Amino acid sequence: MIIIAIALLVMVMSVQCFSVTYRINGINRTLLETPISLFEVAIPLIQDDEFIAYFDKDELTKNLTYYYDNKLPKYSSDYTINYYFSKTGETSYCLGKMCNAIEIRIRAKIIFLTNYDKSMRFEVREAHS
Amino acid sequence: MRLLIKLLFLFFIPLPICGFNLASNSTPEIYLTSNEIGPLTAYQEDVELKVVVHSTTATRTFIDVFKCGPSQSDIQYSKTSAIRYLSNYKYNLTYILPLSDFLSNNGMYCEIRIENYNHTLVASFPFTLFPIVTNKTINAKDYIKKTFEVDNIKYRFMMSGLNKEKETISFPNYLSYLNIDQYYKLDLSSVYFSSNVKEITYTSALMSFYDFDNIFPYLAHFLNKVFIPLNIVKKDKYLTFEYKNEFYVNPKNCQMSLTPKDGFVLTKHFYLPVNEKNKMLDEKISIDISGFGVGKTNIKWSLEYLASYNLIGDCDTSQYCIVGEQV
Repeated sequence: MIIIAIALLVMVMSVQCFSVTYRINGINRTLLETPISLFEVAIPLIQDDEFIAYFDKDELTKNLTYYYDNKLPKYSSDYTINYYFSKTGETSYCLGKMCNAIEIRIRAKIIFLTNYDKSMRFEVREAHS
Repeated sequence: MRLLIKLLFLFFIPLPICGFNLASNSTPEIYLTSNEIGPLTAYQEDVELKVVVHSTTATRTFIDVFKCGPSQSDIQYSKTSAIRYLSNYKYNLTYILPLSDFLSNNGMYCEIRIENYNHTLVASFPFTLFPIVTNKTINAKDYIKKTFEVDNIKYRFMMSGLNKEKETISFPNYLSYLNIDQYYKLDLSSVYFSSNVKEITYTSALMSFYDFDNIFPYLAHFLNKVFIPLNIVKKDKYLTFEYKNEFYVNPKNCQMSLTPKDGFVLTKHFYLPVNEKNKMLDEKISIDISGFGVGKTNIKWSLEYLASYNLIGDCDTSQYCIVGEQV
């Protein structure tokens, strides 16, 4: 009887463990594999003067929120996403229009006291000057 | 006393003589100035030539003879005036050039003779007028190191004689390619040429390129070719191109249209559609100017489109790329 109880406990713990790692990995993958195209399409192409690569804040947050809201509920029902805009090579918050870097922080409740909390920074770089 | 006279003769007398000689070398006794005539066309209607006879002497009497004909050996028109009295160094004359009778493609010979009242010749001003040769077609690449000239644009008598003006077109720093850093806009400001035209006139200026893959679906095509009207504008000392019309562009994919469409925004630039760099690289862009200047010259210019990088994409092949890192 005890053996059966221990076996059940082990089984439940294994399933829980699997569930936790599956969720954490899923959220992590969602964050790490955020499609670059979401950022690319948020860069305004039509500029009358010389081209400056910067994010349209509203467009980018809309794109990212749409993407995460589609992906994250599979792994957690309780999550928050924060967007922090800055400029390439800077860490201070960008209040202006020409912000070309974004830090995305995802916090999600996995189970009991286990939470996911990670950030990714994406920025526009001039590859060829 | 004799010595003094000798000294006076040696030092003072030659100076005014020298001065007089110099003056007589630079200013002829009689010279003509006139209004500007031209460009002329063969057997066109007669035009007025308003001549001012300038004299180095304040007053004089003279007779003027005006002759014209198809050639120097075939003078068919001659008119001798009555004795005229020139005062205050000049005299205004008006001749009717008999262009409708004599101006053929081989030219027309004329002569203005200024004679004394006793018909001794004082000065002769022979000149030949030619009709302008128009509508020549030139290819920019054939004029890399030389200048295209349209002769006999305008004529005018000046102190030195009959001045003939030419229209010139040259292509300094001619480029056979349109090399830009990034695949983004089709900017023609690096394409320029030079001309001495006083007023920029032309019948049409068009940029065209083949679009077999239909990467510009909203632009009108004719035999798979897209035609974009251009304006020729003066920039510093050169002539360059601007787009004649404003465009409508889709801000998402840079698709161009000449007519308003939903979601498209107005722009004066010609954008290139996103993700079509490789197709665009095969394009030959032609610029055709017709009826340029007084000479109505047709200019053809062929450019290859070269772009080093995409605007946004991966870091190897694009000017700008998105880089992500965990923090």
